[in-house]
Amino acid sequence: MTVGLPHYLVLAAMLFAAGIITVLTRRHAIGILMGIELMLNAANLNLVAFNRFSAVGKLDGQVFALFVIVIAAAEAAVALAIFLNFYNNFATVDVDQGNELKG
Amino acid sequence: MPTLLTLLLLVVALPLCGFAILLALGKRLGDPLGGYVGTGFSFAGFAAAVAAMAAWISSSYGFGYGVGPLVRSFAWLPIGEHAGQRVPGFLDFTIYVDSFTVVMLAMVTLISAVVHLYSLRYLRGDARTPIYFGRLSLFGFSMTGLLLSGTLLQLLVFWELVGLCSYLLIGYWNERRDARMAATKAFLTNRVGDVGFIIGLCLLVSFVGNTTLPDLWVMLSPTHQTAMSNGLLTLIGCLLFCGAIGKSAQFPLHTWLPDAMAGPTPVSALIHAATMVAAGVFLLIRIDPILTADARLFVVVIGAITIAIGSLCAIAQRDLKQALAFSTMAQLGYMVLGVGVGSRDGAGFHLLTHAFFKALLFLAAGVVIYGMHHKSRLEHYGGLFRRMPVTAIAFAIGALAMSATPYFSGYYSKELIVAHAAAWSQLAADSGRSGLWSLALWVPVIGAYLTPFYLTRLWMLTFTGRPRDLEAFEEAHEPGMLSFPLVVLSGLAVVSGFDWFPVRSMVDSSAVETRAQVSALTGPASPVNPLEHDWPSRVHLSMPDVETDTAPTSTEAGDDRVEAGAAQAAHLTHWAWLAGIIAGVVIYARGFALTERLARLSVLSAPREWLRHRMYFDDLYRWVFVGAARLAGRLIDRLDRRVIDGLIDRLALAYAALGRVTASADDLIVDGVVRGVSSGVLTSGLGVGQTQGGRVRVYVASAVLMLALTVIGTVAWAVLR
Repeated sequence: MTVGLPHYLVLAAMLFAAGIITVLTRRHAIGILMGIELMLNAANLNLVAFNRFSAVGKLDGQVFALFVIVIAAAEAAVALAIFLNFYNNFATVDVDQGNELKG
Repeated sequence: MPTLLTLLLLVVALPLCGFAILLALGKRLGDPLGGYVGTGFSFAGFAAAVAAMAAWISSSYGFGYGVGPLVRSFAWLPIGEHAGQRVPGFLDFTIYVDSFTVVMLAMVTLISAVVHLYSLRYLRGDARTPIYFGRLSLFGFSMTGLLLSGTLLQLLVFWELVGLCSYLLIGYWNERRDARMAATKAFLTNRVGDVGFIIGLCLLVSFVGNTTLPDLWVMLSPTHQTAMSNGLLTLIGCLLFCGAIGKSAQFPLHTWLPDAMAGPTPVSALIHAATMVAAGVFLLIRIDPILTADARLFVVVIGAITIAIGSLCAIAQRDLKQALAFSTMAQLGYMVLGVGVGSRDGAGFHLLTHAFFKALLFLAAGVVIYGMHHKSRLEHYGGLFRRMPVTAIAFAIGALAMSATPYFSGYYSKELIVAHAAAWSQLAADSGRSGLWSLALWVPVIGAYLTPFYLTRLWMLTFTGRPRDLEAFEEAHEPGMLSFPLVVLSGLAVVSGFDWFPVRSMVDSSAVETRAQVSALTGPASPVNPLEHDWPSRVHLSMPDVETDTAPTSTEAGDDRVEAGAAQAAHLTHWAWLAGIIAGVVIYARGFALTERLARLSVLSAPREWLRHRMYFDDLYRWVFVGAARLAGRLIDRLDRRVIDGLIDRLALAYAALGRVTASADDLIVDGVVRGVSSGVLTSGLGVGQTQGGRVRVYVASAVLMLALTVIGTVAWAVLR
């Protein structure tokens, strides 16, 4: 059995779903960040897979994936800074406690 | 002519001015000054009336003394066209003046002026005198206006004003209950008569369309009228006479007159002499030419009954003023009976002479009452001659004049009426009627004997004998200002009957003028001039259903009968005054001593009680009319409570139930909708607000959900398409 595009896509979808479920169920900010990382990596997997099967000879997908990794690193830095502030204000990193914007 | 008319209008206008000024400035003028203003205007009115009289007698125009009346007509009320209107389609406003009017004006203004003068002293110190004098002036205006009225409608207007003024003046002492009651009684009793008057007037307007007097005389004279049936004309005559019954206090509406004594005594003098009661007789004299023989019979009967009641009740009264009130009633009965038997001139003459001596008697009684500190019962009097000689002599002169003592004014006027009554009953006997008809002679004759008796009784009990109330007697006095009017009126009470004094001659001249007026209206070609009769045949005209063969075809036959009547009357009543006076002096020589002894006999005490209580007419009326009114009131009250209130209560309950239903419907439906909307909004708002909980994960979940839905939708869309 050869591994084709659908296998990658299914794997990426499962990865993405795991990420979403992590984001939705975790109350710990770091856990949410981890879920986001999972979703980003699911997207990266798609990008690479699509590049492998539809644009043979080019490296657009790989480059995109590199950019995503870089941006994810930057984002992680920003998110950690936010968490630090959050912790300063609420003495916790439980995101459900940060509901002061409710209408 | 203009001066005469101006003077006549001035006579009416001056009292009105006085009234207006007192009405406007009365409070500012205060006690004595307001009285002076009223008195000044009334004297000015009298002066104008005297000047008018002089102008009238010396008038050289188409009217005046012995020539004809002054008639001025204007179109007044548009009522639609009827035959016999002066201005087609209009009721007239007419001034009708003949000698009788002129002399009445002079008399009324004189009495009014004298009463004003007298009241100045009588009511001195009363804070409300400006009101009193204002009302007195209004009274003068009303009466003079009534005298000048040439149409019955105008007459009615002033007639009601006179009634109003008498109401206001009788009730002047409004803090006294009896005065208030008497005023109301006088007013209401007069209304009863006025209903008849107004119905008669309505009939006249609907059948003739005109109430102008000279025209009515011509159109409705019983001898040649064609406008309506004789029965209808009789009805109208009787209805108009009903007004006079009320005003002139004739049976059965006489009960207000004695009660009216609750007013101030000068007012009584004015009402009894010049204004209120004179208005009724004046009306009767004015409508005399249209009275049918049957209506005259009614008038005669009422007059005779009134003479009887008045004369009898006057004997037993214990109050000086009430006795005089009943004497007025009797004298008014004479006048009414006089008109009934065809002696219009006699009635007019007696009205004038009576005015002088009755005003004199009342003002003299007023001095006594004033001097005795407003005690008016005979029990308190006695021996007052020593204290009030002028008053005693004036009262005696008035009493003698009223008793028809020869050479006093009352003698001439009463003789005239009694002579006509004698001729009338003679004619009745000649035409084969029952003896009952001769009561028209016998009642006045017996009245003529009773008059001097009760007046002597009053004089004896008041001025002679021992004082019965020593305390009041010691303080009794007669103020000079009150005595002066008595002197003036005493003179008039004596001389006003003489031929040279312009009373009798004016009354006679008014008959001539009336005849001239009627001739002018019917024209010389008229076959029958209804008033072209001398007084003998007037008596004949007054007799219902006389056979033609007994009618006096020649005036000589009529003259004979009247001369016989006059002779009979003179024979019957010539010494009545002396007989009455002697009887009075004998019985009351020692005050009440003899009568008290006589009253122990039950034969005499029962009728005395009966007369003292005014023949129980008041009690009868109270029982019948007041009782009936109360009963009707109770019935209506019950009806109101049970039926109408019940109905309304049910209706209210039904409305309340309906209201409750509406309220709940309102609550459920209208409010429910509103509440439902608002609670829906609230619930949904709260629900929506739940989602905006500020929880990051919820936001994320919804975003994911939406994304998922979008994706699924898009895919489904693509697949299904």
